[in-house]
Amino acid sequence: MIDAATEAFFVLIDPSRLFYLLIGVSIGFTVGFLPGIGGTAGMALLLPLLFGMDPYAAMALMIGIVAVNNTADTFTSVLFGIPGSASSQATIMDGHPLAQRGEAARALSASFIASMIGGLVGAVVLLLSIPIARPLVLSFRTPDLFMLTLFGLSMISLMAGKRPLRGILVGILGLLLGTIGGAAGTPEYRYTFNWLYLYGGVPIPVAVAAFFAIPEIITFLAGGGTVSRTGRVEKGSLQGAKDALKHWLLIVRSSALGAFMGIIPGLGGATVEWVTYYLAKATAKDKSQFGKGDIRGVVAPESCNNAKDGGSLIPTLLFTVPTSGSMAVFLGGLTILGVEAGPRMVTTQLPITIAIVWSLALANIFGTAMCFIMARPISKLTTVDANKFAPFLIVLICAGAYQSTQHWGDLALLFGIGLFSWFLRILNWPRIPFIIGFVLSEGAERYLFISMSRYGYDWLARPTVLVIGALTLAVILTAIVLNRRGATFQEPGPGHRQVEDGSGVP
Amino acid sequence: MLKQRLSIGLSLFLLLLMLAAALNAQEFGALARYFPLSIAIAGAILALVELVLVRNSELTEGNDDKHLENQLRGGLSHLAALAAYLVAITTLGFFSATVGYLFLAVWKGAGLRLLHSFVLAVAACAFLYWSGTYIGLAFPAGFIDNLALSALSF
Repeated sequence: MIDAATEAFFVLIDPSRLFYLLIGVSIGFTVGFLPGIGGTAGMALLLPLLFGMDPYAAMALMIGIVAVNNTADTFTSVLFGIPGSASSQATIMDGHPLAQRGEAARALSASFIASMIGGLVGAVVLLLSIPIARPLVLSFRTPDLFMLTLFGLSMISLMAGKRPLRGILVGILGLLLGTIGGAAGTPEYRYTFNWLYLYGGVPIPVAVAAFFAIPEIITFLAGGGTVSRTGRVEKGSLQGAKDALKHWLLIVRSSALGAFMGIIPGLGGATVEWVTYYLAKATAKDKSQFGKGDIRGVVAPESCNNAKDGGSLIPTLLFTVPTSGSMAVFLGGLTILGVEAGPRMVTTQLPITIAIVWSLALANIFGTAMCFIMARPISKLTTVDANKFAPFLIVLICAGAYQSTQHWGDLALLFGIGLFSWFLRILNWPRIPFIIGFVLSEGAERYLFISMSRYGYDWLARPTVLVIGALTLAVILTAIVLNRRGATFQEPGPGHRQVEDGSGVP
Repeated sequence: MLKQRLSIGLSLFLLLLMLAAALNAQEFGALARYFPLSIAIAGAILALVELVLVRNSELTEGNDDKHLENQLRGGLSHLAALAAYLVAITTLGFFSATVGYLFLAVWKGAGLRLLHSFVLAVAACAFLYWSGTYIGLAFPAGFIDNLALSALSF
């Protein structure tokens, strides 16, 4: 383990790979900062570039986005009261009041330091879980892997929002789209309609870009105007850093909670943030300033939402169970690189796993530094007309989608699926279930086919199968209970404010 | 009302899609058939239930039809522009189409001056070409791009 960690570290600090880490951090910073775009869309932009890349560099690129997204989304939350992503809603409660009374720099710098510490805690949690998870995953057989895939698919019920039927329907659509092309276990092609392009299936980058990036950008363009009217960053950065270090115990506690809750699929960044915020308030001796500009109301949620990334990578990497939309896209990225998530991540691919841990740690440090540097110029960007920068994003998406197969079919699918997804968006249908179904479709069918071929129906009686099946049922029942209580999942859009007890897409 | 009608339309579309997928799956071999057929049948049933629910219920999410109309109008026009851009990519070539798209987007959409818009569009394409070539990206070539690249190579 130590040898693998050392090897992975020296592999990662190769200048060419560090370069990609910095690019990922830059992209993560940009999409985290722009409200409504989000880490999922940012990853979607990135996927086409992964073809043929060195796996370590590609991991660094993807982790750079994931790690920094939750740091950069603080800008608009603090400066304008608009959550940069669903994971920065709670930060508005005290961050924006601080900005309103001229202490924006203090709030921002405290949140950056808290985010960095949170991210490092998350990386440590991920590293420590590897030796514990190793014997566990090695005991898994194909039926168990199928049940884990089913467990992952059950997340659809948690992410389905107020109308679970719609979420499940969209998830089924994703499953169906994943069956296009070659069948698992048999030499046959499905739903190709004699179009050679579809023999390889729908490319993941095209589906993800079409489903997430296109609707967000079109909505931005249609809405017009600027992201926000005002934004200024005054002095006070040093005070903010001191505040963060003063409340180090709160930060560590919130980070640990965030890392633990990140392991649980379907909770979402917003839920994790709100839980930590309310816990920080409940355990504070003096609660009078919470909601009016208490710095603890900034550092607690910000540290937990970065730590959550480390926790959420555990089930994603080790059990192929994506805990969120961005993790589902991340899983898609692994597929493109030929890296198989699951037991191999703690055996033959252990160096890659540990490289991810190192990438997470370094990305948080670099991202924090970048946030400090970019604080002033970034605040001006939010006053730029959406029509001035959104077309450039469209161009990047189209160029990126074309890299999938370098066929005009990539562009055709991009538009067709993007149009459909945009309709889903404006009608408030959930979209995250689609990507979960799409990414897990092939694995589900393959594991089921092998399980039936190898074990017949006997695999249904395996203890691990029964345990995971019970957990799957528990997830679905939890979703039903949450839905009845009104504490449901809702995907926010640009400028969306959500202060009810709901979670959102990270 | 508009939102409800659109939701009904969407549910109907999904129902028809699932039914078509299930019918198409009948032509597959036995092993290739069971997975998509099961999914499609389940999807069709759920789509039918959703269709009935939407048709019979009043929407409680807010009847902001005006807002939806604005979203539709604005969104569809931008989607039409995107469609035109994609067609232009496949016929004229990526860079020619991109210069035209960016130019029109920032000139008409953002209100920048004519010359500034053109320079910005060309600069963005030049940067994209240079960086894309450096990292090995492929761009669709059309007849105008081919002519331009041939002229530049002399």
